[in-house]
Amino acid sequence: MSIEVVNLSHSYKEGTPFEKQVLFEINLSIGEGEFVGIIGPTRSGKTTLAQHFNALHIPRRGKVLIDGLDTKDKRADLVKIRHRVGYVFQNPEYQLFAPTVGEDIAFGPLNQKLSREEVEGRVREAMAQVGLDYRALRDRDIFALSGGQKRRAAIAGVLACKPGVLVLDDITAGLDPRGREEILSVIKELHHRRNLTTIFISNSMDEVAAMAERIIVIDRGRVIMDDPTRKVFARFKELRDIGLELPEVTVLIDSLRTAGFNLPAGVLNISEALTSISAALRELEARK
Amino acid sequence: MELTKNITLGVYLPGKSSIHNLDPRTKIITATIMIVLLLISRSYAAFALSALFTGFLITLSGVPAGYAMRGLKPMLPVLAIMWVFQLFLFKAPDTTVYFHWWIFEATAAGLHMGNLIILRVLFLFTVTTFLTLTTSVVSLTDGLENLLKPLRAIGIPSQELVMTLVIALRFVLILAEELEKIIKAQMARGVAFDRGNFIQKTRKIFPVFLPLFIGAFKRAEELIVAMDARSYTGGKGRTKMKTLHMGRVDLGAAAVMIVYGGMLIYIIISTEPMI
Repeated sequence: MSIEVVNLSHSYKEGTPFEKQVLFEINLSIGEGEFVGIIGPTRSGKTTLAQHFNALHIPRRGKVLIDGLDTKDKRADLVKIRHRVGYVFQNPEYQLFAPTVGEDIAFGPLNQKLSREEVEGRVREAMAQVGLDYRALRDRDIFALSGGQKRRAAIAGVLACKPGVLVLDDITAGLDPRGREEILSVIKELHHRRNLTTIFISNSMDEVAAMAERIIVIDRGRVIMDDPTRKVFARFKELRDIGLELPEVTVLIDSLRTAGFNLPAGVLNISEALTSISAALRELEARK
Repeated sequence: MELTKNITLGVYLPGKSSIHNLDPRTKIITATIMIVLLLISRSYAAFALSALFTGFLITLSGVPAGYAMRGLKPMLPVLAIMWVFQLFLFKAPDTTVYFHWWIFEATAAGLHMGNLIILRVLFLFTVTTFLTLTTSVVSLTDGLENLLKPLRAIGIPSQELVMTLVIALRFVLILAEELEKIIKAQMARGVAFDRGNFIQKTRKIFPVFLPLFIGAFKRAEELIVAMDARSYTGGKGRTKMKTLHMGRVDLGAAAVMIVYGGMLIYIIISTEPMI
């Protein structure tokens, strides 16, 4: 599935004295099977932009096309669009509303008016995809889950709708390192195995660098960069100017480089760092 | 999807007009007098004068009139239902009957009763909204506390009451934001809130309120902890950083109120009531 955004502007509280424009003439397109990161300082408009992707916001100026379908079109089936573009919200555990895990995950498929067996199948499949034990957790009280489990249940609730696009809005915020790790590996696997178009909004540069192939940088409602990950992080000066940082590994390898070690520039994740450091070490050994 | 756009009750719109500059006590007393006068108004002429006066106040405050009335928009269907009920079900002995079917009777008395109730609700809402639009929460609290102080003598915890009231007012907007989040989350999973007939639409509301209430209790608990952490112990022995002062503006306001009140009472006495 593809997403096309044309000249999109958006204001909150339009027509009141509190009106505030948050998006300015946004243009971008996201193709089938891409893994795109969206980064930007807080209140830069990331969430507002992303909520246009599944027609939670309908553009007043500009337009958004989902697989060629204009969300502004009066005849467009918005419910269908929302099922095709799955959206996992910030702090999704606040938006779990059924008493048990199974019922909450079944909420989306039930709205699609599927049969009982199909719904159950979807629940089973979605729970398996996020690594939740169907037998043990299906009837568990939702508030009895841990933070990481709740996140996974929320993602399963979206996956059960069988979306073609997955929008993830800062889903690792507030999780402990292990919880983060687990969620991220689930996402990565989904993307690879099902060729799911994934839009990953995050405040953690480390995560975006490790996950996304392409990064869109937003500042004060405008797209200021839209390039492959490596190219974006090469412009670290500009990123720092708008209050963003580089991934910690990149900073670490850079300081090792300035200290005289023979390492490549622009290392983006742990595994790249690992290979380059061990190569440099081997080289040192050989020289001795 | 934006719910908070139409909520004006409890919202403060900062400004520098003479209305904004009034002492909060003046504004609270004035608003109370206006409401009492509206409740005893029973003629169209009286409401016309009140409408003029309210319009004058809104113009003076610089609050956009459209925004001051915006909060009424979500209430319109309810008001319409109320009006229809009054029209068909209000019974009076000798009155013109426009229309009769089974137990329903549209009468002149019903029509006027419907109008009277609608006008009252409209004015009540506009006056209170106008008060919060031009008065910040802090000064509203200060003013109310000050006015209710005498009640402490007979053992009524006025300060705590005011605090509760103000928190309730703040929660209107907070709950609306929360509600918006929950509705969005359900829309994202395929609930079509704008589809179906009245009953189907109403049924979709229930799954929204469960998480809303859970969220509200959570919020309340967090608030309690935050107040405790700041050693809040209630009203006793608290001092104020800003003390209230009545000034020349307040004197002017009193004069205007006396003129308006006098005229309105004269109209109320001298004109024919609508019902």
